[in-house]
Amino acid sequence: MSSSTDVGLLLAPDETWFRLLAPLLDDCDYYAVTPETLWMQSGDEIVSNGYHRAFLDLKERTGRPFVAHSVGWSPGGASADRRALWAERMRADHAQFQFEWWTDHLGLAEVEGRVLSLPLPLPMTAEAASVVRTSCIQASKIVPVVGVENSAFYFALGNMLDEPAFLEDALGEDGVLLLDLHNLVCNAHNLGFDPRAWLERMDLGRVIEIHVSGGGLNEAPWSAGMHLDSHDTSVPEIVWDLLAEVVPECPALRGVTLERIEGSVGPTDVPVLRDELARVRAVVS
Amino acid sequence: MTLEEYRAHLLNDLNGLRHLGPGVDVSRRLVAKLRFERLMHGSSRAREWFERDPADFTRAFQAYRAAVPAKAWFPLEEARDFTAWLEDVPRGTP
Repeated sequence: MSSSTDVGLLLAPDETWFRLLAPLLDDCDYYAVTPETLWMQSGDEIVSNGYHRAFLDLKERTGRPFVAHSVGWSPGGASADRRALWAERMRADHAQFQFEWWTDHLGLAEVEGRVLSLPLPLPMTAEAASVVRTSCIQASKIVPVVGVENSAFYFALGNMLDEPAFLEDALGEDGVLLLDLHNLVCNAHNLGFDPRAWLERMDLGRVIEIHVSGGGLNEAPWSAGMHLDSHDTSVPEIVWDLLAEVVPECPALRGVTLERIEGSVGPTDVPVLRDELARVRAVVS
Repeated sequence: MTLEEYRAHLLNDLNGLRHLGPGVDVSRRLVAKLRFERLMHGSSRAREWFERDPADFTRAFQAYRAAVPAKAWFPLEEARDFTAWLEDVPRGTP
């Protein structure tokens, strides 16, 4: 990647998404990928699916770098069996994709073999920070630069304004931070705090990548009026405002990645996403 | 709360954490939604059942969730677990 801050897009494993957004791929300096979306079960093994080949083809065709953003490493803890499977697959993928860095979501996505998929918050204790730190050290033996993303949570075990200190402890000496601004906005709305106060408490020198995305209020009664991190709308103005404010404060920032989930992109969204990529570039340059 | 205590709550479908606010229930439902999506991606039989009779499928899916711990990360694994559960259930086959 270049020495300046690059612009990236999280690739979605979806035929429609890929077909519609193909013209925008050249507007990006790098691509982010969720490795698990490129894998599938075959008997007791995890093997590559068809998108693995398609994304590798993209890498070979464009020569552009990739970064990994997983969901199943579960830095807050995972069973030894699953960790071993993930390590094996990540090692194989890294050999092919040569990831610039690898992040996963702060939290627990699996408990004693029980799959949650959704990262759930951790108690902000020294014990939990140590588990995350150890997970990051294990991961760094596969991809040298490793970190976590501040996740979107719908409840908290403690004061969310203590999360920056917890992250500092959890990242140890070498861990990097993927700062997800939409997650921060969701948490601020749902859990009642000021996102700028959270940012003031965080060492932004840790930030290697920023995510921008949208989402919103779900009208279903079960969502309890919460702002969901659904990645299915355009990026809201509050996220753009925060992006413009934090980019100059992140001296180690290498990329800003736009996220938009499969199933939420139609033909009319393509120019919107093109404008969003251009807006990210305008902010970072 | 220690991590061990917290894990016990998570294994119990977050039931002991409701005092932490409405977001606990939202999280439970999102975890269930992700499992539903895995199954829809992995099983054409489940997908067709859901499209044909959403209410009947939803009842079956809730029973499946209650009976079978989520061990699958990938759609085909989830489909295999669902099929195995259906074969053990006297009713509910599509």
